[in-house]
Amino acid sequence: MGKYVKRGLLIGFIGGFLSLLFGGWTATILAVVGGLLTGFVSGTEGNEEQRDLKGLAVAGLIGGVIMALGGLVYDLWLSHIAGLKTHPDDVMYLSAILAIVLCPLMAVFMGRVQQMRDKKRLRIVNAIILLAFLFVFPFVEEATNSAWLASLIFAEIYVLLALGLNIVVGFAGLLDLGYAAFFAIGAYTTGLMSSPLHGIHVNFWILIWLSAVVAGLFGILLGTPTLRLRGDYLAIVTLGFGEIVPVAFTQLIKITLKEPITCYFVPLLSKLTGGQPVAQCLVLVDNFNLTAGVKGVSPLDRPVLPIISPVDDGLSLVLKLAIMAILVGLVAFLFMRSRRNGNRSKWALLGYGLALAAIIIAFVPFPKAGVVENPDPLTATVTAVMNTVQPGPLVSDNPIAWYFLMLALLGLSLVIIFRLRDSRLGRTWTAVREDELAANQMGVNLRNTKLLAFAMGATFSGFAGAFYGAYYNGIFPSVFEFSASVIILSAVVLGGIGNVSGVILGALIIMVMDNLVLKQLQAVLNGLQSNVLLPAAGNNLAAKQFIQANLDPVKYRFLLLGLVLVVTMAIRPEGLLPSREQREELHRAEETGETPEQLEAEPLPTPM
Amino acid sequence: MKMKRLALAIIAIWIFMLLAPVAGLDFPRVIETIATKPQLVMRYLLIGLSNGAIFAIIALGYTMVYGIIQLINFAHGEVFMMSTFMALTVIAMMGTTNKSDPGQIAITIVVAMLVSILFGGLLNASIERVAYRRLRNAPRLAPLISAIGVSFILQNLGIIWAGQGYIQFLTPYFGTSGGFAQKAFPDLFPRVDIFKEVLGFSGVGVTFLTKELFVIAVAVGLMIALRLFISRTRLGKAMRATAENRDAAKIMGIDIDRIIALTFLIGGGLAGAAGLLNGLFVNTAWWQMGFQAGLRSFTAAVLGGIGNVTGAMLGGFLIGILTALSDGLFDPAWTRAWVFTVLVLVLIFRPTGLLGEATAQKA
Repeated sequence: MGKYVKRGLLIGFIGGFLSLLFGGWTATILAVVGGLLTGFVSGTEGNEEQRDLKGLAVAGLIGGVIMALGGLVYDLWLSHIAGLKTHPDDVMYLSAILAIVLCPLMAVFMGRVQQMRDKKRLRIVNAIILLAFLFVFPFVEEATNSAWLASLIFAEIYVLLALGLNIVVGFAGLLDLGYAAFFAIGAYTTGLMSSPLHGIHVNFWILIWLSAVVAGLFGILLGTPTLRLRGDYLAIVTLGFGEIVPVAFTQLIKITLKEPITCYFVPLLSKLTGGQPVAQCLVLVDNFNLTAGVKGVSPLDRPVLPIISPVDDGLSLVLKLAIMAILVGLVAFLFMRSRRNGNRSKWALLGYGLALAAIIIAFVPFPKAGVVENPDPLTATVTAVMNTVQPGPLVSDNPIAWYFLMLALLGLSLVIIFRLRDSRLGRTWTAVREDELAANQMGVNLRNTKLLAFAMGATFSGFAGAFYGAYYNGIFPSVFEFSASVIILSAVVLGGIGNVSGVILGALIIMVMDNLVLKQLQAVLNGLQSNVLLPAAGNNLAAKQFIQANLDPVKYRFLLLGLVLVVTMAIRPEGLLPSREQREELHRAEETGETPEQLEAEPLPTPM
Repeated sequence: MKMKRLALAIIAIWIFMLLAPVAGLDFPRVIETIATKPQLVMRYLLIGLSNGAIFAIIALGYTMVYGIIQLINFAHGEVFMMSTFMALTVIAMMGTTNKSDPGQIAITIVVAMLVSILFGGLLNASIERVAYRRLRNAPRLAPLISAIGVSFILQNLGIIWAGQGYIQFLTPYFGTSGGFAQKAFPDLFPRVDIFKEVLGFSGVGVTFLTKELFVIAVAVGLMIALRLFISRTRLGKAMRATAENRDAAKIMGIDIDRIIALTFLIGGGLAGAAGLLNGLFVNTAWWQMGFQAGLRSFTAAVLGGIGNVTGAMLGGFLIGILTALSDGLFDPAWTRAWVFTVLVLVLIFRPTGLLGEATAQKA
């Protein structure tokens, strides 16, 4: 029981702190999340624990009460003295009651689900619960109007970035400190080709792939000369690359390219011989403004969101949906077949190819036959149906649409990443990470393996960059500086290097802290400062200056990030949610009492 | 084969000449400057030498630490930055300005030098103790990531230190203009042109200020002292032994932890000295200076051959001259790109650096 009390206090303190900062419906939302998590965690433990639903109820109750209290304290007290937005009375009381009720309910429900015997089915049920939560969440957000959604979309982008960096750092063990450079390259590829700056307007759904490819190519370009070096050289080269890419994007505003032979050598020769210059200087590019410098590329074309885009032509939409349905059905069929045969790889590959085709078809709008003046009944019906089914009007400024789009891309990336990790290539990466020399002896082509990891990471970064540019509707070089790389790296390190779910968790924590919590904390502290602390300080000038200079958590965000890195490395180098191999490797010494030197001599435990 | 290489070289030169003007190397303008104003170029070279001397001392810290535990100490640049602030604080506490009398200035410089060397050394050694020591047997990425974290923490401490007027007794010079702004570092040396006023050459046309001479002299003195320390003393011998083979050195009775701490102490002390010298030379200080200087110095260390003390000096001077030329003749905005290009070129064509020998692979 004591364990459950502790657990309840833990979720209570985290959730209660956040409710204390935001108030309103936050307590309820967090109570649901906390309850589900508590229940889920109980399932990952031993069998006796699973039965203890009473304990889960207690944990949920404790957590729910603390969260409810946090929310009430905000609405009744903190928001008044800090001069922030307060919620109506009914909202705050209802939220508190719901938090107290829902948290234990969710914990018990999830704990009950975890008791399922059939592990396979349990995983499916868990996945369904997760998907349902992810689906419902934005609507709840929208309804409770807490304006978290925009931050969550950024968090999703950073999750994608962290997943990409995890391929480089976690799977292959290469430290990439200039990861934001590829992010920038992806974003600028999209920005330059779909904005009024150069008058080029390529469809976003083509650009998003193109950006990924361009970033990947830059990864290969940078990796080829440097990847044969030792790992820490790579770190410094990528650091340098990450430094100059923003500089380059800032400075590439007056590009003049002169052909050297005609512009330098011929005049020099003619000057030396005293004759007239024979050839005209060939200026290839004259004073070309590529990136608009610090002003940045803004605005970008608003991408038309997929599937629903050409609704004014019902026939093409139906056709498209039909083709997609056939493709998806084929994929399912192939999967079944491959399962039965036990010979998965070939059929599965075909299946993935078809799934990819279905997705691309979904994203590429069909050409319209012509503008329909009076829509035929079919078109009208489809439009009506789509408008009722879809979450609000699916224009590109609707955050819910972006949220789901990014979620879909994340899902796609996750499939690719899991397949990569378990593939032959993925195992080769592990081998290279664990022992380069041994891997080389076993016939692994070191350079190509590393290069693939590096390029793959860059590709994901470019992908995220394209999405970022389109979503943010503006690309500025200062966004992509070294600090961005470090934020992504801290997400990977905090969550657990090499473990996909850990990395997702790390990125979510870092981004939610950075985008939401610190900002709200700043608002609260600012309110407190001007309403309470400064009057209290009275005439004490030094105290006043101290308060004004230091009560700003956003100013110290990088200090906090640095602390996250150092403390994680010192206390829990495997991260919050490590992969099994990593945890065993790092902690075997403690368990068996061996010294690390002895461990090194042993063969590695990981199956290759 | 030879023809092929020649053709490749010509293509490379063509591409270089096509693209270099984008990064500020405008050939006609540069050549014209060199032809018409050679004094200016000489001046840039002198600035480059002084700058390079500072880079060289910082690079020594990188190279020593890398030589002994194969770690790129990302926080080293920040130790340099913090030491500059320390020196600035000492100068401010002693109330010395450029109008004070020479005796006081001399005493201030000596005191500030000692304090910042001590401060830098202790800071670096405590970083090692707190952040790196327990990770010595962890995977190689772990201390590197920890080092980045320390670097970020120190940068922010620098902002805090430089940002406030409220710790009046500590930072009278910093003012209240906020931690992100550049701070003025007093120009303590009399602006005496050595060529003209000391040596009596009047026709040279190039100014060589006392502060530049001072920076170069102190830097070279420190480097010689370090060389002597490493090659002549028992501790230096122990350091070399530890760098060569840590386990064997341990068996021979060398206290590894102490030697590594000593390495960090010396490296940090050198960074501390560089902090004061840089402040006296550039006359500004701000929280971001450590990152840039660190990157350049690391490039210098790699250029000279990492792990090699003489190489670090040579690399420092070369990088200093390159940055000065790029700042003066090409375009300051692109200096970073040139330094980076040099780094990549060195790593491609001579990964062991100019003076480095091929080291055994220590995976």
